[in-house]
This record gives sequence, C-alpha cells and structure tokens, in this order.
Amino acid sequence: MAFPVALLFALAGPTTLADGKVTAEALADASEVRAGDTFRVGVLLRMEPEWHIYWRNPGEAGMSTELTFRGAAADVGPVAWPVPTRILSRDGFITTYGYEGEVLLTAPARARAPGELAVDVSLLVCKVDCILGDATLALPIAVGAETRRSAAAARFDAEAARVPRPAAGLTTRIVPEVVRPGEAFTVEIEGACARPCRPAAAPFFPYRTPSVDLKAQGGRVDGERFAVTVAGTAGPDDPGADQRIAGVLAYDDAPPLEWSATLRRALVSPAPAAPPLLGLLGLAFLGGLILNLMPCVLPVLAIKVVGFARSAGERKLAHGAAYALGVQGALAVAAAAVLVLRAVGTEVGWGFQFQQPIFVAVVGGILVLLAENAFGLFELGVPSTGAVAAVSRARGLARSAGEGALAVVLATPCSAPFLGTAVGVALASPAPVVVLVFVALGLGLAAPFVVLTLASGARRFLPRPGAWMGRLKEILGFALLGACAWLLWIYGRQGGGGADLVVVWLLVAFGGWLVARSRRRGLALAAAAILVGAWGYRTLAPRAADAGLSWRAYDEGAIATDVAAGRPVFVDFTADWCITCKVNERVALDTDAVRRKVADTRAALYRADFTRPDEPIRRALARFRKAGVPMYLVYSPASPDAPEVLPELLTENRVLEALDRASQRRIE
Amino acid sequence: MKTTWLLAAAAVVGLSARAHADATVGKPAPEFKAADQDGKVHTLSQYTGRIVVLEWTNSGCPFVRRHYKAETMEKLSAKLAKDDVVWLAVNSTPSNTPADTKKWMKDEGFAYPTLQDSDGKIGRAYGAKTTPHMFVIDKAGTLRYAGAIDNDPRGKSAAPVNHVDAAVSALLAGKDPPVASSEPYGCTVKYK
Repeated sequence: MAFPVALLFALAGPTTLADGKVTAEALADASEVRAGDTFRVGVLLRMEPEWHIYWRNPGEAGMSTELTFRGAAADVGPVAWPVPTRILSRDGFITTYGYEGEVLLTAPARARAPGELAVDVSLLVCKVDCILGDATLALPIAVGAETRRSAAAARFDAEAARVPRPAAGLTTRIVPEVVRPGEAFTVEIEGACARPCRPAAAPFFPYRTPSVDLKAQGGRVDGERFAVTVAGTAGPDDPGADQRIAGVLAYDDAPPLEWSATLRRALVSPAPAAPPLLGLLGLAFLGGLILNLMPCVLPVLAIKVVGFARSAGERKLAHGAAYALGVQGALAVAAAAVLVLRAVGTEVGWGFQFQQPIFVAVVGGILVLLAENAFGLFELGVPSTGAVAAVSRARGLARSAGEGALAVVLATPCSAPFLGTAVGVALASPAPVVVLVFVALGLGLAAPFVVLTLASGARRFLPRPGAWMGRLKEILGFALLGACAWLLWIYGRQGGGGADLVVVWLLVAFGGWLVARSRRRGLALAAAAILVGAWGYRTLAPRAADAGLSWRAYDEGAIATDVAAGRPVFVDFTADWCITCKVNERVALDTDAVRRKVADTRAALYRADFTRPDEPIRRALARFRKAGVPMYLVYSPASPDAPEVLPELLTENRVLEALDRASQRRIE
Repeated sequence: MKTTWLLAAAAVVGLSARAHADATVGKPAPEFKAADQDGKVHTLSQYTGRIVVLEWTNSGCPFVRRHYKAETMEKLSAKLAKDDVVWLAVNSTPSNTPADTKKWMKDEGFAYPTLQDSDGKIGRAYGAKTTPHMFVIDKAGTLRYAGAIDNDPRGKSAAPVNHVDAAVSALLAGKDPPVASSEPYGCTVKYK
C-alpha cells in the first residue's frame, strides 16, 4: 500500500482568506492511520496581529467560526473549542469571545478509506472593521497498515490541554430558583480544584442558550475552593420548558472545565391570555341574571313586578328602560370606582395582573371572605334607608330609574360575591373591558324586570321566593372557593409553592370568622390576629436564599481550612422549625450591616441545618453543651480551636462585634 | 420550591424598580432626538401612533453590505411603509458623516432617513451591539422586538425567517410578536 503521500500533502498547505487577514491550514495528528482507528483532524488558523476570529459563542456581536468536514475518508465529530479570550470594545460596551494570534480547532475522527476530506471554513475576522472569510481546504487522509503520529501531533496535544473537560463536583446555585421571562438572575458556581487554582481574569465563558444572556461577574478563590458568579438575564420570550445553560470555567493555572446546569423557567400562566371578551361578557350577563334569584332581590322583584303590572298602564317600555338605566347608573359608579382604584394603585406601584403573585394572593383572599359571606357567616350591608325613602318620594320614570339603582344597592349584600369576582377580573383588564363587564352585569340584572313588565304573562315563570334561595347562595360560595383553587394553580405555575398562599388565605378566613363571631370587639381582635399571623408567617416563611449572604453547608473540614487560611468563620446552627433561629436570621443576620461586615472581614459563612436529625451537627451541639438549636459560633484564625459562642437571642451588634474581634486578632 | 411572600414582594418591587442600561422588550422604548443626513430632526415621540423600526447600520460592515446587496432592508421597509410603519436607520459610527450617508443612500437606492448618532447616545440607550441590530417599537411606544434581522447569520439559508417582518406583521394584526428577541449578529457597533 504505497500511497504517494508526499504528493497528497502537496495539495494541502496554508490558504489565505478574508483579504489575507487569516491563514488557514488543514492538519491531522496522524501521517498515516489504520481504517477504523480514531485520530484528530483540525484547522490551524493564524490571524494578522490585532485581528481576531470568534469562539463558538461570539458574544454580543460577531459570528462564530464554522468548520464543516466533508468526504468519505473519515467520520468527523464535533469541533473541540479551546478556551477563548474575552474581547471588549474600546468603550467596554460590547463583550465578545474569540481568538487572537493563532488557534488550532480540532475534531475527533475515525478513518474509513484512503482519500481526502474537504474542510469548509466560514469565519468573521475583526479588528475595528470586520471581514467575512470563506475557504475550502483539502486534507488528505492516508489510510494504511498502522497509525503513525504526524509532525503536527504535538501541536494537537498542546491545544487539547486548552479544551475544557466536563466538570464533576461543582455546586451551582441559581437565584431566583425559577426564572420568569425578562427576569434577571445570578448563578453561583462553586467547586474545588485538585491543587490551588486561580480563576482567570475572565473566569467564565458562556455557551449560547436561546433567549438567555449570561455574563461573568467575577471569581473568588479560597484555598482549594473557588466560586464564580455569573449574571444572567432571561429574554422576553417564553421558552416553554426548563433550559440547559452551560459554559467554560477558565483558570490561570489549571485546565479549563465545562460547566452546565438546568435553568428552571416559570411558564407564563395561561390566565393573562385573558378569557375571550365575548365569553367574559356572557358570564357577566349570566351573573347579573342569577343576582335576581338572590334572597335579597327576588322577593322585592316579585312584589314590584306584580304591583307594576297592575298599575303602570301603557308606558311599560319607557319604565322598563328607565329601570335598566337606573341599574346601569349604579353599576357605572362601581366601574368608575374600580378604575380609580386601579389608577391610584398603579401609581403607587401595585401590579394588577395575574402574573403578579401578590395580586393573585389578594384576589384569593377577597374570594375567601366572599365565600364566608355566601355561607352566611356574616352579612354585608349597605345603609339604604335614606335611598329607599328618596326613591319612594319620586314619581314616574324617575321612580323606575331610582328603583333600578336601588335594586343594585339592595342586591349588594348577596351580590357582593359576583361584584367582587367581576372586580377581580376587571382589575386585570383594560379599561374598556372593565366598563363592558359592568354593563353586561347590569343588563343581566335588569333583564328579568324588563321582560316581565313587557310580557305580563311571563310572570308565571318567575320562581317563588323561598328557602331554596339560601341554598343557592351557599352553593355559589363553593364556586368562589373553586376560583381560589384555580388561583392556587396559577400561583404554582408562576413558580410559587402554594403552601404559603394557603396559610395566608387561612389567616384571612380566620379573621373573617372572628369578626362574624363577636361583632364589636372582634373587629379589633381580628385585625390584630391577622397582623400577628402575617408577621409570624413572614418571619417563619422559608426565605429566598438570604440575598447577598452566601451560606455553605456545614462541613467541619471546610471550616478548619477556612480558619487556617486566615478567614473568620461564622456558623449558624438552625432548623426550619426553630422560631428563635428564624427570628435571629431575620433581625440579626440578614441585614445590610452584617452583609457589609462579612464582605469587609472576608468571613466565611456556614449553615448547619438541623431540621432533620444530623449526627455531625448533633455532636457539634453537644460539644458546646447545647441540646438543640440555635447556636452561633464565630471562629477566629487566632484561636482556631476556641470559637466564640454567641447568645441565643442574637442582636445585630453582637454579630458585628464578634466578626470584628475574629478578624482583628488575625491582623495583630 | 421556596418562593415566599417575601420573594413575591421582592419581585413586585424589583420589577418596578429595576433600572436597565439597555432598552428592554416590553418596556417603553427610550426617547431620542437626532438629526438625519439632511439635518431634519426626528424624535421617537413624534411617531407615537405608528409602528417604528430602528435599524443600526454601518456601510463598512460586511453583514450590512450583504443585506443591502440582497435588498433585505429596502424591500421590507417599502412593504411596511404601506401600513404606515416608520423605518429609521441609525448610524452610530463616529467616523460616519451625513455626506457618507447620502452617498450610501444613492449607491444603494433607498430613501428612508438615517439618524446621525456619531456620539453613540441612541445606540447606548438602546443597547445596540451589532450592525445590523433591529428594534421594533409599537404604536404606544413600547419596545416589542430586539435582535437580529433574521435567523440566518451566515446568509446561507434558502428561506430565512425575517424576525422584523414577523414582529411588525403580528403587531399590525393586533398580536404579540412570535419572537420578541433574538441574538443579533454582525459587526460590533464602532462606538467612540
């Protein structure tokens, strides 16, 4: 098998592209390769001084370099990308990633048959101006009896050391855990090196993920442990699923690592897509119709219709219209009130959208109260004596209009659930929709009266008032609770747990019950109970990762290493069920002053979570003669074996002083 | 799942308080005031009630040249002009002069104005990183699309999807843009 190897290689050789700014040469790490053996192929790219080409992710501008291997001589795998350099625009506004000088982009290959590979190179090379370059290179593959290293093999080996390997043993923390479209987040990557390692000045290079922007913030190193912070922004598009984010961790004195993690994405809840307008209006109309069957409306309506049919004579249409207008007028006031409330609320920064967890919670709370009302726990009343008197003095059409308005006022005690729900939906809708919803509601409320006055025969179909009206109201109460269940589902889709929401609604329900049980004193009591409950909940609720303070899991070895490295160490022994612990964490640990002090003293923070039994933590507690949590230890590098034990009722000042003491001894 | 009330409250506060250097899709687009190649002054607010497309351009950039050779911008702007869409090119290259722009307009045969942003003020306000970099602003002045002109950075696709066409068409039909952002590609904007 004597191939004219020299002749084949003569076909290859350096080619220039992009106006001579780049020289490209196809290479293999084997001068001869046995069929079926793996070897490496690649393209050596040399740039003119100060010109650069781009990495697999070009960054905020540019275009990635692309290699395509064609031909039957070998099967070629994906390109291995060495760590790039970060290239900033003159003003630092634009970050790109690429290569200056020269780079060898390689790919694994398996030899098949003697022949040639064609390599298409497509790249963009920039200094200030940019030039596109395209070329097709030839790479002869000499398939023979054995695999022999080529002269270029050493170059391949050197470049391989700059190609990241998948990392093991990294911990990644993403805050917030679930990311919404358009939201910013931070990624903390922590790990250990085999030997002391130093993150490079540009410690992180992100791979490209659709609709996610990642940018390195900085790296810290601490003995053999390191941490890299990455700032991320999710794009406005909803990816519809969790996403894989990945990148390269680069070091000054250790091989690069390839990192990846799952970015949990909140799915945009379907609610904001707004129920179709026609359906919404139909529901409002139906709601208005049902209002006529409420215990406080039906008896009045029945008497009025009978009386009216006997006396009114021929101006029935006019009276019916006046009644309907009266209903609309009263509801227009309600609609206006909603719009004003929203305008004022938006001004002070409230968000009236179902995407807002707070809005979901408040609407749900109101629904819970209204359900209690429907179950007859308490009555919502409107002082209407004056209005009734005024209406009875009026005559003619004015009287019919007044009766329409009065029907709304009278209906309030039982219509509140419907109005409340309508208001809830209305708050999240554009102003014209708000008005239309109320108009439809009013039409529904007025419809039976108008129909009955016009066609007196229809009176026979009017149901007789009775106890069934109360039942109906109670059944509607369950419908309101059903709406709460729906809100809970929305909340879950937004990335919320839901348990916290149920607790808050329970508090609201409890407050309502208290008010209903003991009228006068109850009011103050209920308010106090709700406030205390809400405060307690705020305090006890699992917190959003103590924004700013980064706690590590309790690890005696790591603590000893940190102290030996000259850092003060603060250890928080805590548990989810420990109220004192949670209060301390809120008032004395998670504060701006402590955050600053931790940064100043370079203190390391460890958290020993005793929520579930844990033997090392139990032993540590026993060593300091504690039966349980909380316990706070501050280690000073000056006396690594005798940490200071802080009091169980912690204050911010005690923490600050202890951290000062621990760090000052080190300096002295 | 540890989302809590506090997190929820923080999210609400955060959403309203977050200050962003770059223009954000879904938020009001930054106002601007700049002269075009003829000295005529344009502001964003003067076009309230009309959809506005901003195109970052630089006649020296091979990506811009490729699209002008293919008449991507000329054809799309002419098509959208029928629906009263405003098309403004923006040139943030410090060395670019109005005379350069006029020559480029004559060579390529297009008539829409090019805002002279040599100091990069508009470019930085919008976070324009590449040429071309496209922004679509709806009739209410809200930024609705930011990113590449299409999904074909290398110009090798037989049927590229034009994101700007899709976004504007959706807005004209009263819908949300199918893609609200994409990675822009091209040369870096040559800020001073």
